[in-house]
Amino acid sequence: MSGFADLLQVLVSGASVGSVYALVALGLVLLYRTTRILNFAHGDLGVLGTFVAYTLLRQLDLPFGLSFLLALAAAGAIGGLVYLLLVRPAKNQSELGLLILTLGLALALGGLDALLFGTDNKVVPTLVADRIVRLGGASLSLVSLVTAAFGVVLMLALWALLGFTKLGVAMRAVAQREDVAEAMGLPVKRVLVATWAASAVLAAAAALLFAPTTLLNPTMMLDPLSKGFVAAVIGGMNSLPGAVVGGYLLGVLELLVGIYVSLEFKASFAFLVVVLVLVLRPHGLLGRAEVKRV
Amino acid sequence: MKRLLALVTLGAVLAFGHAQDPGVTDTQVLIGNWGPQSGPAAAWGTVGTAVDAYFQYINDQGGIHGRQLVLATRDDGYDPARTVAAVRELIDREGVFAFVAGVGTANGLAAMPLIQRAGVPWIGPATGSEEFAENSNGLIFATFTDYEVEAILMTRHAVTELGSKNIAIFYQNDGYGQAGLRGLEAEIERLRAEGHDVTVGDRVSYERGTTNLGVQALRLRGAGADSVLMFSDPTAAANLVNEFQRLDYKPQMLATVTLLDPSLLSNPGMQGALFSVFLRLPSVIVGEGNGDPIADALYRDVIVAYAPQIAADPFRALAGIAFAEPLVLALEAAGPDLTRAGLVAALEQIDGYQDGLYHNLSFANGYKGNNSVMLLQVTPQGLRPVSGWLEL
Repeated sequence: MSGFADLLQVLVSGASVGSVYALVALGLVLLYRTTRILNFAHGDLGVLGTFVAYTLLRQLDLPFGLSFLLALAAAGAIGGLVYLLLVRPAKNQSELGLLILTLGLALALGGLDALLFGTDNKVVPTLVADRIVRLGGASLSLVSLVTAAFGVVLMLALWALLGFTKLGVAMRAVAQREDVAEAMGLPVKRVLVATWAASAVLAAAAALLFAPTTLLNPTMMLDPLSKGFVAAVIGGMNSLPGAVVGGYLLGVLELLVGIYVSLEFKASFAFLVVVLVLVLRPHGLLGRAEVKRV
Repeated sequence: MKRLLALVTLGAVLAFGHAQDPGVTDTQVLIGNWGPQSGPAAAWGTVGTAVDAYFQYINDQGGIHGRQLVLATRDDGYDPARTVAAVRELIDREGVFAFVAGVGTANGLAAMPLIQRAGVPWIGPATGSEEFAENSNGLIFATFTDYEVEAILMTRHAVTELGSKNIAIFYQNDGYGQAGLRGLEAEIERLRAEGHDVTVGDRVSYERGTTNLGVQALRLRGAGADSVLMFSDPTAAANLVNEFQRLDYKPQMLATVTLLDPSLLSNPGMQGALFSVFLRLPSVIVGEGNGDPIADALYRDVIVAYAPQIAADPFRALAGIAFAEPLVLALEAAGPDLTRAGLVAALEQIDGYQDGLYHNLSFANGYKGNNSVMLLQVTPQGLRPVSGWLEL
């Protein structure tokens, strides 16, 4: 195989896993820029959504597309409920207190998954039947291409939501100054419910796209969640395009490091990147440095 | 005062005269166990459930020398720190007589010093690490064919039976995976000395919990390996096999017994893969007519009858029984006056036992009781045996 084919292979494989990282990062950033909460339960919300899809597929024999959409809706509803029942009552807590709340929620959701769905590994089918597509000497999987494409569609949908709908504008307003948004008569509570719901939908979408490439179990999203955090830091915690760029960049860079530098180094590479970004450009590649008026 | 001293002395003599090891009464023997009922390896919790079912089965037949077998089991979530806490509690508070099974290499290694310090026999650690038999101190009796031996036997089969010339290994970067790597390298050296034209194509590791295994797949394909030994967990194996499919790369896969997970077996990319197993298997795994009668009977009479909730995972269920089998044999042989020393002596007497789930169980020459595997192949009809018993 030629050098070009090798590179193409790496780019496609990296983009495929990168789209999962990007979706995770998008969900994290969407929530963080609006609420200043780093949600450690993000992965577990995604896993719960995937278990819902699995149950609809296997127990109720619903078609794949319908199961997928219902699972996204369920994840959105759960995300909204998490805000109403847990986060809102604790809104006067410090940022650290809220972070610990999400850690506790992560553990509780993991336990709930184990209780309701068991801890054995489960196989989730792919969106489409897989076949190999040859391109420039590289072998590309149709599932990888569809996964990457579906990720892009979801990201575009989020961009349209934020940029061209009243809800999106309200979300951006709340993200900038919640108190002013409230004073201007915006329904802040509803906006925050919608933000938590959208973030959970992104988590579930990432988990649903990722599940067919691995095995579904309650701990499935641990690694993608940590990589999603890294992608968010690379791109900038307050930048949605940054989260997308960070996700794809991390997916591809991980592969390049594993192949051309060291396989053993690959596992810690992502965290070295975080350190470098925090030292050299703390607000990330596309994020804006926070300036506080004094 | 003299009378009091005499009474105390008499009491002490009487007490020591009837001294029994902890965990044994006239009516029961308390056996300790740990395993993951939660966490990433929770599927292996089946082992503890199966041991409990086997004890119930024995008890319903009258127990052993009139004593009922009682299992005290703890969920350690596959976390070695929790294993240590559980084992300490089982020894100090519960006062178990012996341990059986106990899942996980790191977990077992963490618990081993405690168990040995307390002088508690431990039968059938549920891990293929050679550490336990090699550091037995006369207390640990291993029955899981160790990973290094497994790798040696799989490598030899790949070269001598399948004509493999370039073998690579995909392994978890810890004691488990490195044992597989050692076995591969040692056997390739031996085969080359015997005149076989074979090389180790690549040694590709991953860290536990990693999910992006595209690099590993690209490296293995780049090495041109015609066979790949797999010493990973089922999730990593599933990820790798999916990457292989994306790359349209189809080496002969030879997987360690740890990967015998129903969800992995159902992956289309595993078709044709070989799995090694260290115990006799029932028809429910290898198809009607191919099952071993001993395994069929135990599956039916113990698993289906006493623990139907784990019947869908027959391999791990039978493995649980297999780990407990030498304990039951030795409790029987040790006689009614049960002591830990008596149990250990009875275990050491087991030599060439072939009536149970192991092909050939023997502690006469050391604490590795079992050194044989059989290879099964994934076919559209399910797993089918493709070799006899391979022995070191």
